[in-house]
Amino acid sequence: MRLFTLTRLVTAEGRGASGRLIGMAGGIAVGVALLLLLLGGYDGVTSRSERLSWPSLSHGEWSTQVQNPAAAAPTDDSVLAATNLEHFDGEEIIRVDIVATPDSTVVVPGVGRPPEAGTYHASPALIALIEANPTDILGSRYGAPAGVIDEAGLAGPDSLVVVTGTTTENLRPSISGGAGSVFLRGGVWSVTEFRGVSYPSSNYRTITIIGAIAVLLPVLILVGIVTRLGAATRTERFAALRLIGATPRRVAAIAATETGVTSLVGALAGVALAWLLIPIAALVEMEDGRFFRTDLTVPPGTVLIVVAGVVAGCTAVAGWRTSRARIGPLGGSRGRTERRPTALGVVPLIAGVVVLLGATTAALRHTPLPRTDRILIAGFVLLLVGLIAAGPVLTYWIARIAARRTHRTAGVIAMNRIQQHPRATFRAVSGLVAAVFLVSVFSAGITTVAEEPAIEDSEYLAPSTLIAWLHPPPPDDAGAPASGTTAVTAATSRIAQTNGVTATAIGYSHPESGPVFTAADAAGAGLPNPHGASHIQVNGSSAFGDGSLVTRPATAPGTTPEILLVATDGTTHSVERARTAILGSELRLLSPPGTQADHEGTRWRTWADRYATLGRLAVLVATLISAVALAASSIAAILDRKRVLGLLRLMGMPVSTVRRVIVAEAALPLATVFALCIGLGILTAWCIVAGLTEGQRTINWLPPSYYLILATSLALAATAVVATFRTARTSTTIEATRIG
Amino acid sequence: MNKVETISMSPRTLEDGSAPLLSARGLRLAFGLTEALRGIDLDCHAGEIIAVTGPSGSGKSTLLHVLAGVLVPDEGTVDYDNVRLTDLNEAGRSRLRLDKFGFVFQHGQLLPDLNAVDNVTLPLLLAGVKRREARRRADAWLDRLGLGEYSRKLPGQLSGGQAQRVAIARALATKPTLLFTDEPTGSLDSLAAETVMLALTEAARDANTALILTTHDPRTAAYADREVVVRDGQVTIGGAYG
Amino acid sequence: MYIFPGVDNTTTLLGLLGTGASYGYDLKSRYDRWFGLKKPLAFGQVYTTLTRLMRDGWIVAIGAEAGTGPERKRYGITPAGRARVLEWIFTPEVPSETLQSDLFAKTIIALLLGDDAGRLLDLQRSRHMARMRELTNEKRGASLAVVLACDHALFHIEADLRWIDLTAARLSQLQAEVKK
Repeated sequence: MRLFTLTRLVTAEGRGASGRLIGMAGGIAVGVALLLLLLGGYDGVTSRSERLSWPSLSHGEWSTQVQNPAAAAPTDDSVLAATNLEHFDGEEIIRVDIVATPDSTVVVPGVGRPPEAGTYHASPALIALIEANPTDILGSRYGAPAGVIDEAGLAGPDSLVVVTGTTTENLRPSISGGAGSVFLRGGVWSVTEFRGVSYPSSNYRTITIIGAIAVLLPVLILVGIVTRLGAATRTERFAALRLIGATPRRVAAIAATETGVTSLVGALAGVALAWLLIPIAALVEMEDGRFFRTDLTVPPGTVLIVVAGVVAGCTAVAGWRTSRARIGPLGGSRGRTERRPTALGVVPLIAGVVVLLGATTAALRHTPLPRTDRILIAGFVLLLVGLIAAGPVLTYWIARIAARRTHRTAGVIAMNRIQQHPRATFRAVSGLVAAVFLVSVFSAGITTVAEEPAIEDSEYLAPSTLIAWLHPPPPDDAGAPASGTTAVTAATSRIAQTNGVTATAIGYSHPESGPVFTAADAAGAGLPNPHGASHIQVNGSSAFGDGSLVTRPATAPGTTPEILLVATDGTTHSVERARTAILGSELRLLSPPGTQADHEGTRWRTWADRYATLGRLAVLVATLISAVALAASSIAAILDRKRVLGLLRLMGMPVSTVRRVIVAEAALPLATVFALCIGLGILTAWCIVAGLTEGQRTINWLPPSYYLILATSLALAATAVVATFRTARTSTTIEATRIG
Repeated sequence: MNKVETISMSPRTLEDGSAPLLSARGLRLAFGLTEALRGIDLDCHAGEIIAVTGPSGSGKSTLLHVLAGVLVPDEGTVDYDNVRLTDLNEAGRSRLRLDKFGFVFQHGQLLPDLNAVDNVTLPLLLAGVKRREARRRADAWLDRLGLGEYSRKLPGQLSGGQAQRVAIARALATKPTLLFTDEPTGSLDSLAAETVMLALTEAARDANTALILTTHDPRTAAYADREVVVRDGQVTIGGAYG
Repeated sequence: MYIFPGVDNTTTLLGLLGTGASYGYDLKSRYDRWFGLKKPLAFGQVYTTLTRLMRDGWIVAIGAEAGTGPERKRYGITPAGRARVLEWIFTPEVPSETLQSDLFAKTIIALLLGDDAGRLLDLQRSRHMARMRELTNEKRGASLAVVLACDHALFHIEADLRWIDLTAARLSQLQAEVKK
């Protein structure tokens, strides 16, 4: 086709042209690869969420909560199920207990037919764990192994999930809680179909979308910069074409063709790169552990859409830019200076701040706006875009002041350049600016998990002591208290025999809040009894969760056993063996036994924690891409002026001045918005954290790791700038002045 | 080797035996197989204006670059005021260019982002002059070249002749003893060329700055005190034609 | 191609004779070949010129057959005539509008004589440049009328100069053609 031949002649054959096109294709390849991984990851998060959330049982019309399991026998179309969170050596195991008829048609994800009573299916990771430990420590909790749960029922290769078959009387109604991103509603459920949801909560989706935007923005900036590479040289070539009679339309078509072909090559390389990167990306632990590789693989249709979209976008932008540049026969339109940026550029930034603060203030007053999460996303995006939009304005203002005050040659050259091209110079660092903003948002957001200060001088239950809540006896059974007490005592004494158990203590329910223990039990379990009372009562139940331990002498002993404390010698094996013993005993438990440490673990692994992983990943990617983008545009900025800088060097200007120009042109826009990025980042983090939780959480002082990340980002930027020094030297020699 | 034989009508060329400001002997330079300079001798006295003419590709620009210490010849020497330029390293030559030489090129030598006066201050700042003083001097030079009202304009807003005069102001701002100009009127029309050449030669004479200019335009060359014709890398005025 | 009116035909004919003795008719043909394409020399003019050259002692008639007309005479150059030709060739002319033709004639004669045509062009070039410098200097501070007059002269001289440069660049080509 003639257009292609012409394009090849005009753009691809010439000094430096190949370097320019390779740079462009390379940038697009990196962009497309990241975009695909991002899409894959986003897709992966959703589909994984579905696979991961089915054990929470409480989704939609396929399940109903059962108040009295004994009265709701399973049919062939429905099963009774209860999901509990068990612990093993700090790991969480999701345990789904199912009561089914022998001919049940209900399908368990990854398992198929529900397992028979007394047998279990476990995930590969859990099977490995079971096999690596003695049966009395872990294996005997579940019964006889009957099979493996395949990928359809698992979040990822590291998931610890077990599906056991059981009987109605052994079904433990769980208490509500969260296991990873699975929110357990608690109770027993009658289930006709096990289904998951894409997002366990809208907060979760909010964070995922914010993270995705955070990575996407630098990718777009990179693509924007690389497609501009060598624009000055190209303008000359196009001017020559115009001179020999090419119409502006034709020149635009040639520019579009060049970019189209290059971006197609780049996009295809990006697809290959993404494919190569998937195994590496699958190693990254994100949110709920690693991904299955298939999770990260983007379906071919989507790949096609991405490639077509990137190529079409780049092509259209190139054609549009060229036709807008109005390249005449004698070169680009005169006075190529940009429009002076106006104060209007700061409007989105201010709007973003207003939106974020407004939504958060409303939430803090417990009158949250409808769809606060969406508003917060909008505010975040507005702020991010606003920062990029306000950058040139602020840079221009600062450069104007600096241009008047500078006394050095490099300063005069750089400040005036920035003043004339505030958008172009800011674009070079905009990726980095976004990265600094994001790292501030995420780092500040992460501090929320460390927020609750420990109460000094208070006592806690020993972390090696297991806590088991007992099932209350049926209220209509008159003789139950007595027989219940006997059974519990008998079972407890058997548990006490377990290797590694040092003491057991039974707490009895009491009309006033807090279980009552006998002095002997209290002493064994390490409950303080400062006044030597015959019975002590534990204040509130938080001591058995994650709170501190406060006791007082009890007025009267309790009536029914409510809680069992099992103290161990503290080794992991002892704790787990005791836990297995409790689970295997005749005791009817409300929930699996856990230590205070297990509760801590559960509490700590909140969404904020996952936010951190995603955030770090986003910042890493954003910073790396931004450094590449900075290097690319610094080189482009020098190449565009290589003749005039070469002539100045010919006049005797030392090459160090050229280097100083590069540094100043990168440093000023970055420095201008640096403090602003940090401040707004922290503000955004606070708004999102406080806004989403209606003030239940807040943020804290930034950790040292934040300053480390910040320093690393700046070091990367410096590296990117230093990397351009060689080009600065070689492209401003006498030879450079002869061209053009 | 060709002896330079020039014809001068100007009383300013004093062949009184005083040492030349710049003296080149036996310059040879090849770019690969192309011999750009094939043995050139040239003297330039203080305050003298020399036009180096010759057809395109004759090596006149290369000669200018060698004389200015931008390019190093394969053979031959260039002496400037008792300093052997050809023995200096790049840094030394850069320093000499900055301190003693001025340059004006055909076009595109002004930084497009700097206004006229800032462009003129650049070499002064490089020489360590304070910004305020540099601006004052730059403004004075622009005034002198009739550009007072354009001092705050960007190069893109100036005509070719005006831009060239800004370049002349920039070249003369550091008070060089020797000014090198490569096709200073190459891209200008007759009138603009005349304005530029008048400004250039007047300013150079006033400052007693020697001027070596290359041109292929006889009318531009006519502003010089003498003419040196270069053909095929040799000075051919008075020489034998192949 | 060779259309230069008003060539100094006296010295040109003398120069042509410098390449060897010749009959009047042959001389006319050779002259016409180089310089008379547009306006051939009349026979009468040739013989008048030859008579004048003889009178000045620059040429002599060789082996004249008695009783025959001038057309049967062969003419040869004398040493004085040769000196006159060289003097003519290497004296740069004051730049003028009719210069071109003379300069062309000089170049051709120099080439025909095997003399250094490049040198004559260089000399002429220097003379032209000197004149241009004078005119350029005259313009400094002069009234607009003087400037315009100087410009007029300058552009004409420049045209000559450009022709000189171009001819100098084509000398070897021209030499080959003359030798044929």
